[in-house]
Amino acid sequence: MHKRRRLVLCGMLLLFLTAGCWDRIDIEERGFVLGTAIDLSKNEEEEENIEAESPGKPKGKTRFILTNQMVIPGTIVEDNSGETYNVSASGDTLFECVREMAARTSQSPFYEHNKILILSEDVAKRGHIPSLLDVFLRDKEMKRSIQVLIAVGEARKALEVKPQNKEMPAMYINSVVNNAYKNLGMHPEVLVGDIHEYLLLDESFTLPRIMSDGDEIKMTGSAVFQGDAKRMIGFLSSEETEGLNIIKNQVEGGLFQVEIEGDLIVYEIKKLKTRISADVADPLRPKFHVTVLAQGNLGEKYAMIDPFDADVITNIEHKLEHEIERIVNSTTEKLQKDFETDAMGLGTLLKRNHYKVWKRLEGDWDRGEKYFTRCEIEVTARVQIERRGTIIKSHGALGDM
Amino acid sequence: MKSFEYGDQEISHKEIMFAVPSMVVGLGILTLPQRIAGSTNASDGWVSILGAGIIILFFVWITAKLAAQFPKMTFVEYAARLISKPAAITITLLFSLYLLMFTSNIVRSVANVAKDYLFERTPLEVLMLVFFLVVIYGAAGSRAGLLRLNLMFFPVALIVLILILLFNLKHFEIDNILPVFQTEWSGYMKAARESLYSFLGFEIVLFYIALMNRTQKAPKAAMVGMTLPILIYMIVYIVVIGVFGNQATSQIIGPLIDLAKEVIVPGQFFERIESIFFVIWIMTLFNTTAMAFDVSIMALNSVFTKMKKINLIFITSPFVFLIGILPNTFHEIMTIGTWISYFGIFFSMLLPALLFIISKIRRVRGYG
Repeated sequence: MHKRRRLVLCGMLLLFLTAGCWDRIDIEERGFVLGTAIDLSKNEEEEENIEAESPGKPKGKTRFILTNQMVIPGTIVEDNSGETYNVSASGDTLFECVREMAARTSQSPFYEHNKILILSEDVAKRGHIPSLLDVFLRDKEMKRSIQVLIAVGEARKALEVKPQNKEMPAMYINSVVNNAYKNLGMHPEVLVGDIHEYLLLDESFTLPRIMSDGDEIKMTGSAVFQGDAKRMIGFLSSEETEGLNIIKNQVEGGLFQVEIEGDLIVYEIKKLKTRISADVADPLRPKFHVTVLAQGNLGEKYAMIDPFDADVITNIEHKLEHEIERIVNSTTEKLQKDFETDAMGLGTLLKRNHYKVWKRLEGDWDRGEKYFTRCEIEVTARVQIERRGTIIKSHGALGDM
Repeated sequence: MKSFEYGDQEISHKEIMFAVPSMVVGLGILTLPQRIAGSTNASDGWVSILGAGIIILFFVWITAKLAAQFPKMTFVEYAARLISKPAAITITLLFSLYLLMFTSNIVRSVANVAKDYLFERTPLEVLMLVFFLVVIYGAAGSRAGLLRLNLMFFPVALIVLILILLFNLKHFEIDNILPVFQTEWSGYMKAARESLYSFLGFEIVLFYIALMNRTQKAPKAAMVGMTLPILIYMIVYIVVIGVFGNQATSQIIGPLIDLAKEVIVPGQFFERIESIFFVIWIMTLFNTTAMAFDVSIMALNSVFTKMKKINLIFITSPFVFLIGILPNTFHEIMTIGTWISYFGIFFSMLLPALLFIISKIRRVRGYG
């Protein structure tokens, strides 16, 4: 009997120990952040206000505006649609912005489901990326797999789009990137963790560009970052990004258009592989051979040609080869002459395959002596047309009008 | 009154085989990649892990062989025959003290990680207490039962770890692995020294082999057990480097935690897999801690033969807990951890080697 009473007592004590949880937060109180945008603050009136409120406070170099897109948990239904709202706050540091935000929203922001980070062009060009990314890497609530994009103009505008299919804007942007296999001009996703590596290695790199206008966003083109200065130096256009994707062997799909006999034909890429070999006979002036191998189909044909004629096909293939070479050359020229930045990963290639040579060039590759700008890049493309579609002709000859 | 008691308190070579990796894989696996990435180039760190692993295997063999020479004898008994009784008692007490310190350090570290990632607002002391109470419960029960628990927990932990690695292959970039073998010798050595610390803990076989009935198989079993952590560390290291790259890895304090955070299970249904990872990781840490605590109690018990095991536990555990609370900062915990590792080197490598040599020179053998 005695033993039993003791057991009951123990059990009751356990109730006190086990029931309750310090860390309970109701899901309604959690502000799930889906996307973040960072802009520069240009509000002078606000700065005067701060000066008045806390005169002795240490000031940063610039003020940022942080915009969080939060989702209202109850409204999420399948396929990424739900109601969201954006909250902006400004501060010298991002943490200050978050603190400022806490004074404005009822839900405490929770970042573990954050998907995208959009930085404005200005933020990137003024070289704020390294310091801004710190908190995204340091804070344990942040994932290294947040996607980073550079917005033309203001970054928060991109989070304000209203997609036609009622998707949450951040999720919408996040899923547009997955279309990279259909569009050659889209830069593949770059994650916060990847940038961490680039910044540590002082490597030059590129980020996807995002343009927004009201209802829609467009994600072609890319932003080029110089690895030494660690700031953005310019955008690559959609076509130049095509070239970049080809060089970096990150093509998942897309198309090329060539003109033949006065009209267009469309080549649909099924597989595109790029091989680069470096010739380091002269270590200070390495030569790169870029070999592009493309396989694909004839997708659409406007020109009046017979796709089953071997000569015609060879002709098209040659045209396509020239087209690919032209696209790649325009990119290399831009990067070598205008930007003087090796965002194509040629330095990394040297490092991987010719470590000794790289050790000599490392400090003077796309900085210092800039050997990169003087190295020769030779492009050769080989194109194969595999399928020509299910019909021969779609219409008879068109009469001249 | 006990309603159920395990028939035998003996263990087989299988328990030894699992006790070794369960003991060794613990805190170190979280931070190991960070510690060796800095001094090696690209993915070359695996060479150092392998090198350190081979050295460790040699010492595992010595340690197990030493204990296996004296079947059914406790450490203090056979040490007394080798190096006189007072010396044996002193060393056993120091051994116990070292393991108690080790226990308190792990209890604190587990609580720290749990607070950082799982229970942000729960007081640290409560987290420590909850974990430590379970450890005490584990150590207070049947010793053979505790060792058999390893057979159950370790495969689960292994499966979860493999899943985390597999789900991360999507982020794996072969570019991060290259170029190979461009590290200086000094870099390899430095990294090997760092990895050595992550292999400590196998010294528990000095005590547990006494529970074995036939000890011939013990050295081989302990060595087979040890190859598991070596393989695990190498694979984890290569995946971590492949996913994060060498430079980033050298800057991420717990690369394996970040690896768990990156897991995306297809279907978008599961996110935040790291919470599952932590549960499993804490399970393996429970094994490590409970065995460390159990062996320290076993060591004390072999000296104070008249005392009951449960009383020894009740006397030591408050001290273990208090020592765990003492350090204030992350830095202090790390410093204490480093000192414990130095003792670990002594107790797992120098001491068994010394005793082994003495046993060979003086031709002392057990009764078996």
